[in-house]
Amino acid sequence: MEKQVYSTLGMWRDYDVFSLKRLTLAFFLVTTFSLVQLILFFLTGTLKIYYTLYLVGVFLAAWFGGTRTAALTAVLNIVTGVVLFEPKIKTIFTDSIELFQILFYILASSVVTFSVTAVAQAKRYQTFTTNQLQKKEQHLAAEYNYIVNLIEAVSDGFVACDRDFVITYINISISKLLRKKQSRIMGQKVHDVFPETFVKKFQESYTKHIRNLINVHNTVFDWKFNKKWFSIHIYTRDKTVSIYFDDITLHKEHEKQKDFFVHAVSHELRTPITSIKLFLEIIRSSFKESLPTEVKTYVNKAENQLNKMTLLINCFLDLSRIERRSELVTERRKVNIISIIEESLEMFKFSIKYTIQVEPNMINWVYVDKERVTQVFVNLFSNAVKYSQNNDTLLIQLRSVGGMIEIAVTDKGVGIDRKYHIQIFKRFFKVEEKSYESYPGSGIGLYLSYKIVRGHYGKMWVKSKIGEGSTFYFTLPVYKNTKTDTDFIDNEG
Amino acid sequence: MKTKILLVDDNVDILEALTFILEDVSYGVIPSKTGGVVFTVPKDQLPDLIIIDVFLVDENGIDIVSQLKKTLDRNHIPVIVISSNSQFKDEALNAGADVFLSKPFETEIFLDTIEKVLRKKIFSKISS
Repeated sequence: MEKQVYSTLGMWRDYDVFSLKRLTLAFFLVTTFSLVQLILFFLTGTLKIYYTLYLVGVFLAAWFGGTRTAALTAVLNIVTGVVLFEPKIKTIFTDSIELFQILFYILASSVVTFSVTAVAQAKRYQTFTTNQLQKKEQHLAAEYNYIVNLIEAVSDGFVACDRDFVITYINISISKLLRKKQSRIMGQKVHDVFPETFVKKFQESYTKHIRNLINVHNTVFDWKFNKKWFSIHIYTRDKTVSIYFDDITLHKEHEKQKDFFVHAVSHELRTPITSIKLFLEIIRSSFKESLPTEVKTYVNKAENQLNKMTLLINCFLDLSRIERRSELVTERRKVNIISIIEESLEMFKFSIKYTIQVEPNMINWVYVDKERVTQVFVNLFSNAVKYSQNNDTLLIQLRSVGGMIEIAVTDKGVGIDRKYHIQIFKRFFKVEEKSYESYPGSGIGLYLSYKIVRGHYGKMWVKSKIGEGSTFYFTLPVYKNTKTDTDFIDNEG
Repeated sequence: MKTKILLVDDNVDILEALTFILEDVSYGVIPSKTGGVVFTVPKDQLPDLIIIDVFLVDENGIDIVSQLKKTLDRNHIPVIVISSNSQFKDEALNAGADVFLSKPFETEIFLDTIEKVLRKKIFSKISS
């Protein structure tokens, strides 16, 4: 039974002291002892023996029963003494030596009671707490093992360290990979345990994306070691840094195969297209004068189809690169956004009228992959032209928002129903409605544009209503005059 | 003297078509399916320009360009690398090519590029 019990000195509480067994034993002992006391007194007739026995009695009562039992014993003894020695009491009070002796005994008994109780309870408490500790330790050990098993089962590799990069946990698979024992690794720094290839990228990611932040999710980079590829995810929570190793060796293998396939196919497709184009050109230029008009037209049509095929192949190639953002957006440079827009508009000069509005005092420099951003504009402009009437105007607006430039391309075309506003940016998506049937397309343009914008850490969205045209918005990063271009947290993963 | 262009491509059709187009605008063309000819042409008959494809039978056009740029008697010859795979652009330029063109290309652009490259060489010859 665990109860709150007040100890003698009010120090220890909360322990299992109230034991019915012990109390019964104490009562029994005290009673027996008192009887023995009485018998001995009557036999010997001396108070000294009585009071010596009295001390022993109080001792026993204190040890077994605690303060209250001891106090009870003391009181019983004094009362019995008074009752038994009533005639002698008067003489005791005139005889100061005897008086002192009695007082001494009473004082001694109090001291004995308190100290004995204290010691007894200390011992009991110690045993209790030791038992409690042992139980807690066992419980903790069980919990620890449970969590360790979870960690070992969950990830291909897991390492935990503190903000000073001292490793606090490393799971079996990684320690096997590094060919070092778990126990030897823990306590060492990441930099001393992992190879240079890992440390460098880890340091870079940490400095760029984590540093002083408290809770960060999912900073990712790829790491190759011993012919295996891992995708590294870093999470932080307060003072701990968790590093997860995802084995992507198979994935990389597939990627390589796919790459090879894609490039082989594009090469095989482009080669015959090249020669056909060249021959058509030869036909056209060599026989310029003697060719009947129809033949010239057919040659031109054939060439157009070839150009279409080339564009399609390029689109599909881009698609295959999309999984890796780093491939879609490659060389980023300081570029003037207005010049990109004007260059992109070149081929639409005769198809549509346009106006460019720039926010006053806006900085025109962006940090982008010029070719890719041109692709985005060309895609948006060609869509605008495709879905607009001949005399319509295209409106291009630019303004700066946060550290980005926001571009809005507005057309007065057929518009897009609200329900498609998210889907149009998805791969291969085309609006499947009668009114759109006359607008052919591959469904890849907007998807690619979206991916390119995301590749620059920008956002892309649309505002549109049926019959009222559409405005496509997207943001691109402003050129910052610092060595590292981004202070972004890559939360997309 | 006619400007001589050494043309290397393992695809017979493309080789034939490009030769025709180049000869049509009065360039002299040395067509070849293999890259070795780049090194075997005698010193007094060196071409004014080399146009070479990346994928050749058993050879890599870019490797040939690197090698060429290390060969003293002919490393001054300008090179245009062509390929259907645009991923080789950086590699080609780093190996020493002057221009990288991806197939298919507009004939007009092809001829323009050749003109530009040749002109640059002439100017650099004059100025040196």
